[in-house]
Amino acid sequence: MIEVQNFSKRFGRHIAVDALSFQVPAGQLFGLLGSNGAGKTTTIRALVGLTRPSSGQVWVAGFDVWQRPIEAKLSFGYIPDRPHLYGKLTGRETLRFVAGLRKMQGAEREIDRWLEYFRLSEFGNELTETYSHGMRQKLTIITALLPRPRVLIVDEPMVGLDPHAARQVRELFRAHADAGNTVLLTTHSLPLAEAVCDRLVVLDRGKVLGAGSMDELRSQTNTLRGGVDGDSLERVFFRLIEEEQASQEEASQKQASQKQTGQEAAGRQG
Amino acid sequence: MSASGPLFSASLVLLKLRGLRNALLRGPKVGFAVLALLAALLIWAEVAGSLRALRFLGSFGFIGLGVFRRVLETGLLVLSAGVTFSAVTTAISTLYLSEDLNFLLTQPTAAWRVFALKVGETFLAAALVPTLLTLPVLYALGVFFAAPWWFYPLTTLITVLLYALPVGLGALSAVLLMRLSPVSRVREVATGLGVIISAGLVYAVRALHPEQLVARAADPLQLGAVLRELSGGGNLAWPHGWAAESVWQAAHGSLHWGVWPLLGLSVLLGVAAPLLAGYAYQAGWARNLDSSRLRLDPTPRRPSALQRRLARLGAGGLLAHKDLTLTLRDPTQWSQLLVLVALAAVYLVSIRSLPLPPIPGFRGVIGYLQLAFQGFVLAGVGVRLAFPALSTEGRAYWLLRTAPFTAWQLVQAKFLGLLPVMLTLSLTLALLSGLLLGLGTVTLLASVLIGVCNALSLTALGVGLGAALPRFTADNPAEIGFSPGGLLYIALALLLSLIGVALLARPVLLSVTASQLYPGLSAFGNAWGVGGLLGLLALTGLGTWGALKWGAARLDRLE
Repeated sequence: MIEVQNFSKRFGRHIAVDALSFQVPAGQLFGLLGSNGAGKTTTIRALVGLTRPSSGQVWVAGFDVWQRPIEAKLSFGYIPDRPHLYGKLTGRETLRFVAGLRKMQGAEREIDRWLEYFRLSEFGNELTETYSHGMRQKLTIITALLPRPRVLIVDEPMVGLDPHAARQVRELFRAHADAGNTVLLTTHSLPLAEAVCDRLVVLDRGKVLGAGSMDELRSQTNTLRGGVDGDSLERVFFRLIEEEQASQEEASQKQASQKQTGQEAAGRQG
Repeated sequence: MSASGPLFSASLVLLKLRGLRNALLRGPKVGFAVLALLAALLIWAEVAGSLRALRFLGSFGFIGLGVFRRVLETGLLVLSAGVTFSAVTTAISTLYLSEDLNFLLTQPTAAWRVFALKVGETFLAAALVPTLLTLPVLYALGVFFAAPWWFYPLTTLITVLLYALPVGLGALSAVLLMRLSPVSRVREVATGLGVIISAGLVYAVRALHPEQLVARAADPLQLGAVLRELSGGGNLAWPHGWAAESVWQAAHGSLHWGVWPLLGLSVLLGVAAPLLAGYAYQAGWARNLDSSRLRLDPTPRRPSALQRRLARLGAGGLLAHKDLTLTLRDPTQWSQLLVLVALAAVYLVSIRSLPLPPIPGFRGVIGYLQLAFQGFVLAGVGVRLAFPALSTEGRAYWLLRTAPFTAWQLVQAKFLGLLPVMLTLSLTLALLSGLLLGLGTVTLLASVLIGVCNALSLTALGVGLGAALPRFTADNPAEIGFSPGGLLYIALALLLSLIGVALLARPVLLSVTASQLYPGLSAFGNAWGVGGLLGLLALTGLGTWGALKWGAARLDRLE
C-alpha cells in the first residue's frame, strides 16, 4: 500500500534523505523512527505530496504520488505534526469542508460520531481558533480518519494530547491497521512505537540504520532478550545510533590517517 | 536588570538585523535582483517625474510651484492617513500577536523595552513603504531648489516623524483598545476605527477640492483669491501641513517652526506607546484579544442553504463558500472590501467633479483616457483581494495541498470566486464614469470592453502571481500586498491596463474626432478597430490564461 523506492531529498548541498527504500503492506502499522533531523518528516511530506523527491519514487495505494496525485490523495489521510487549521471556521465546518473535498456521502452522521468519540461535540459549533492545542490535534486526526482512508500517514500524532486521547488514538491506529488498512507513523515516542508498530525503520541523518520487526531489530543489534543491553526498543534504538557513530568515527580516523600518510610521503619526496 | 537593560535592547536590535541579513543572504537572489531593479526604476521615475513637473510648473512662476506644494501636501495627507489606517491593526499584530513576544517577555529586561522594539516593528510594517515612496520626491525638490546640504537629513527626519505620528497613535490606540473595547471585539473595533479614518481621508481629499482650484484659476473674477491662496502658507493646523511647509522652507534654506511640534508629538507618542504597552502587559490588559466567546452548544449546526447549493458545484463551490465565510468572519479581511468601496467612491466623486469644458470631443478623449486610471483603481483592489487569495490560506494550506485536486484546479477556483467581485467593480466604474461624463456609444462600448478585459486579466494576474509568490505566514492580509510580489503585481497590472487602453485608442479617437465619417459603431469596423479588438482579445486571453497557468505551475512546485 505504501512503497518508497530509492527516495532521496536534497536541500542545496544538504542531504535530508539518502536513497531510502521500504514497503508497507496492507494491514500493517509501520513506524518511522529517528532523532531530530533524521529525515522522517521529509519522507512523510514526500508521501503526501508536500515535498517533491530529488530522486526516487513514492507510491501510495499503488499510485505514484507525483505522477497521479489525485488518485493517491483520495486514498490517504494525513495527520501533520502541527495542527494548523482555519481559525475562523468551526470544527464542524472544517470537517464538512474536508468531507466535501473528498465527495464523502453521509458525512454529517460521521462528523457527529467522530466529534462525540473525541468529546468535542460541545465545541463543534465553535471556531477552531478558540480550541486548545490538543483539541486542534484531535480535530486534525478526525480530518484524516473521516473519509475512511485506505492509508493513514501520521507525523508525530501524540503531541498535545491528554492521556485519555492518546490511548484512544493508539487504539484507533491499531484498529485501522487490523481492519486491513495501512498506517505509517513517525514518532519520537519509543514506547508508543514498540506498543503498536508491526515493523520499524530507524533513520539517522537521512540514512537507514535498521529495519524490520522488533525481533529482527533485536537480532540485528544483539539486544535479544537476556542480551547485553536488554530488549526494549529504546535499547535497540540507542544501539543503532551508537553503532552508526562508531562507524563514522572509524571512517573519519581512517581518512585522517590516510591524509597524514599522504602528507608524509609528499614531505619525503620534497 | 537595569544594567543589562540597554545592552539587551541593543542586542534585540542586533538580533533583528542579523535576521534581516540572513534572510537577504539566503533568500532568492534572482528575486532580490528583480526587486532591486523595480525599486531603482521606481525611484528613477519618481525623481525624474518630480523634476519634470517642477520645471514645467516652475515656468508658470509661483502659481505653478504653489500647485506643486498643494499636491505635495495632499500626497503627505493621503499617505499619512493610509499609514494610520493600517497602523492600528498592524500594532495589534506586532504588540500582542508576534511569535517572538513570549520569548522576549520572559527575558530579564523591562517590558517597555520589548514593546519599544515592537513599536519600531510596527513602523517598519506600516510606514516603511510610504517613507521610501516619499523621500525621492522630496530629494528631487531639494535638487530643484538647490537646497543646502542639511535639507536632506532634515527632510528624512521630517518624513520619518510624520509617519511615526500615526504609528505611535496606532500603537497607543491598540493598547487602549485592549482595555476599552468590548471583550472579544478588539479586532472589529480596530477595523471600525480604521474605516472611520478611511472615511476621514475621503473627506479630507475632497475638502481640498483640487479640481475647483483649477476651475477658479480659469475664472478671471476668482484668480486674485487663488493667487493669494497659493502664495500663502499651506494648512498649518495638521501635521501633514507642518511637514509640507517645513520641507518647502528647508528647500529654500530656512528652518520652519513646523519641525518642532512634529518632533515633540512624535517623541511623545513614541515614548508613551511602549510605556503604556509595558504597563498594560503588567496589568493584564490583553483580555480583549480573544476573538470570540465560547457558547458551548452540543446541538449540531447543519449546513446553510447557500453552502449546500455551492457544495453541488464541487471543490470550486466548497472553496468559494469557505473563502466567503472566512472573509466575512475576519475583520482584517472584510476591511479590505471597505477599502475597495472607499477607492471606488473617491474615484467616482472625483470623476463627477472634473471641470471639463462642454466640448463633446474633449470630453470623449478625456473620458477614454480615464480608463487608464480605472486600471489603477482596479489594480489597487486586486492587490488587496486577488493577490492575497492564496496567501490567506495561511498555515492551513496543507489541507488543500493534500486534498485530491491539482494546483491548477485550486487556482481556477480562486479566480472564479473573485471574478464576480472584480467584474462588478470594473463594470460599475466603467459604466458610471461613462454616464457621468456623457460619453458617446463607441467610447462607452470601449470602456465596457476594457472593463471586462481588465477584470479578467487583473484578477488572473493577481491570483496567478499570488500563487507563484505566496506568503502563508503573514499575520495581516494588508501586509501581503506590500510584499515584492504585490508591488510587481501593481506594476504589471498597470502595464496590462495601459496596453488595453492603447489598443482601442484609435477607433475611439476616430469616433470622437471624425464622428461624421464614422457614425454609430463603424469605427470598430475598419482595420484599426478590428485589429484593436483582436489585440484586446489576445491580450486578455493570454494575460488571463498565462497568469493562471504560470501561478498554478509555481504553486505545484512549492515546498
